[in-house]
Amino acid sequence: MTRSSDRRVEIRRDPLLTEKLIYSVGPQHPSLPSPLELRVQADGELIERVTPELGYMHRGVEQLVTQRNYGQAAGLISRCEWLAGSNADWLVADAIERIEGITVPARSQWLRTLVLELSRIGNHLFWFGNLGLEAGAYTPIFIAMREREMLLDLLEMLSGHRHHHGWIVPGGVRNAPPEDFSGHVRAFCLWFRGRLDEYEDFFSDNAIWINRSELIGTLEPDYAFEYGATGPVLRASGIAHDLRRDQPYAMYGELDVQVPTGEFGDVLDRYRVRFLEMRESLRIIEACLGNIGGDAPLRDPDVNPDPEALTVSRGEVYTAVESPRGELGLTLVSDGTNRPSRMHLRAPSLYHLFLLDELCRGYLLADLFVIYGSLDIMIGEVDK
Amino acid sequence: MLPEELAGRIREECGDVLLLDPARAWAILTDSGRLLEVCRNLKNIGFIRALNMTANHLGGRDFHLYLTLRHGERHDASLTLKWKFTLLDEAAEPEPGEESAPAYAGQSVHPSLSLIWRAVELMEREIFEFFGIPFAGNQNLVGLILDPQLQGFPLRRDFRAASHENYAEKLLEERADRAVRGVMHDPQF
Repeated sequence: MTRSSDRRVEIRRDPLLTEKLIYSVGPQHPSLPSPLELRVQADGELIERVTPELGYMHRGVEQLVTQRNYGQAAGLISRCEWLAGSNADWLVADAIERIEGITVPARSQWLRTLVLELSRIGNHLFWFGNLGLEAGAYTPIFIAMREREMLLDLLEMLSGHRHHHGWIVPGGVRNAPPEDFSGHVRAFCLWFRGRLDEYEDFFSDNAIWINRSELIGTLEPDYAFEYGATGPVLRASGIAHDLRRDQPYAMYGELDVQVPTGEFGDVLDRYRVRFLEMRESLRIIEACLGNIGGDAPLRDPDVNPDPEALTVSRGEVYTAVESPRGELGLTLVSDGTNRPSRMHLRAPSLYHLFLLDELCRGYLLADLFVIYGSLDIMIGEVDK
Repeated sequence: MLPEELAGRIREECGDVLLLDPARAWAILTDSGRLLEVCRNLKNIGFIRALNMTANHLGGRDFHLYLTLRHGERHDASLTLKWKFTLLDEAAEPEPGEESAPAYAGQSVHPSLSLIWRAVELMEREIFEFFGIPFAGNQNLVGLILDPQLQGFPLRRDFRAASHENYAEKLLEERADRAVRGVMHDPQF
């Protein structure tokens, strides 16, 4: 199907000067998975303005981390990004390794890459389920959670935790995978590839879904660039930027990472880009599996495994990871003690959330949550 | 990472005020007074994407600010710029033709970079809220996350419980008062 024109309606000045309606959506709302208030100004059913009101989930994480050791700080940062918390673990570990000049053993880097990709699929599954709910379809949440549970079982098998794994640590990873781990991951990949085909059959080509998403919430590439969009939101607008390929970390440099892009930057493109990313993640995971076995060391022996005793030399660094939502960045300032002097999280969701005003203007109120769902906003990383 | 050809161009355009470390993609601005000029030059070189900006309170009135940029075409090229800012008592005199910031009288202001990179507007709002650094020229300099009634700036080193003494009690009183008055929502759009 070709898409020819935006379905955005030009907002006209009302000659009768009727009163605009302001809807307050949230902070607790069935369509909002996290607490957030959206103030929506509408003229009839046409959205004129959307203003996000934040702070309902603020926990003072950036202040708290300065009073805790690096191990605890990583745990707190991970709680800003609970659907793919390993990304936050990686950020903290990488920042410390950059300051200290630590070389991570290759086997650990392969394992880290594998876990980051498992987390990406887990996040995208959660997003897919939620997006279905936003669009009024109940089936996706059930099937997505079925697959996500299997994936969480794998991560639990590896780390002992289902959500905040704390498994990626400075200098390597915390422990070796169990013997049968590779077999379980292979079986999951085989199973999940079949399920992806199934999703595509009943959802991606569904006429109702296409009608709800095609040419809705279009984002121009220049605008996306200018306002800080990253990740699938940026790629759906046609810009092939992915840190895994462009500034490779872990073992992504050894893998030929394919970067899917969209053409129109609408809800449908953001949806398709994430689906293609899940397929690419499966390919990366399978490539990692051949390199995680053996008896090679998993951790730099010079790094103190006791988080309380781990001190980091004086230094500053900015590091970033291609999280499922976009560029998740960390600025770390260390003063030579075992506590960070300053830690700042760059949350991709913050920038995507403030795109809502531009994305929703001129569309119908019914489109608001489909557009919101397509952005995959994580309020935990925004409010911090 | 900062490719050598871009590092060469940056040295050409702003070499006298930047200590550049291409291996770390890091640069320190030695003359903060030339911040706007350096930022415009970096944008002209191709760093059209502002990814991140944050601050660190050094104590007293001194802050470090960090801005991370990425090249528009060379996706493998990024740069973090660091500079020092000292908050003065008196309000800075605006340049002729520039917008003043009378709301921050009694403090100095930092020039806003949001006119160069639009995404910086959100980053400056965050810094303003947590560090109390006002940015002259930012058209929407209001807090993002914190309760507007909170006094003080939580990420300053001198932020103590005293600055939000009885904060929780006051908040509860306020909520109780609102409940008595039947105020469910205050639509200040």
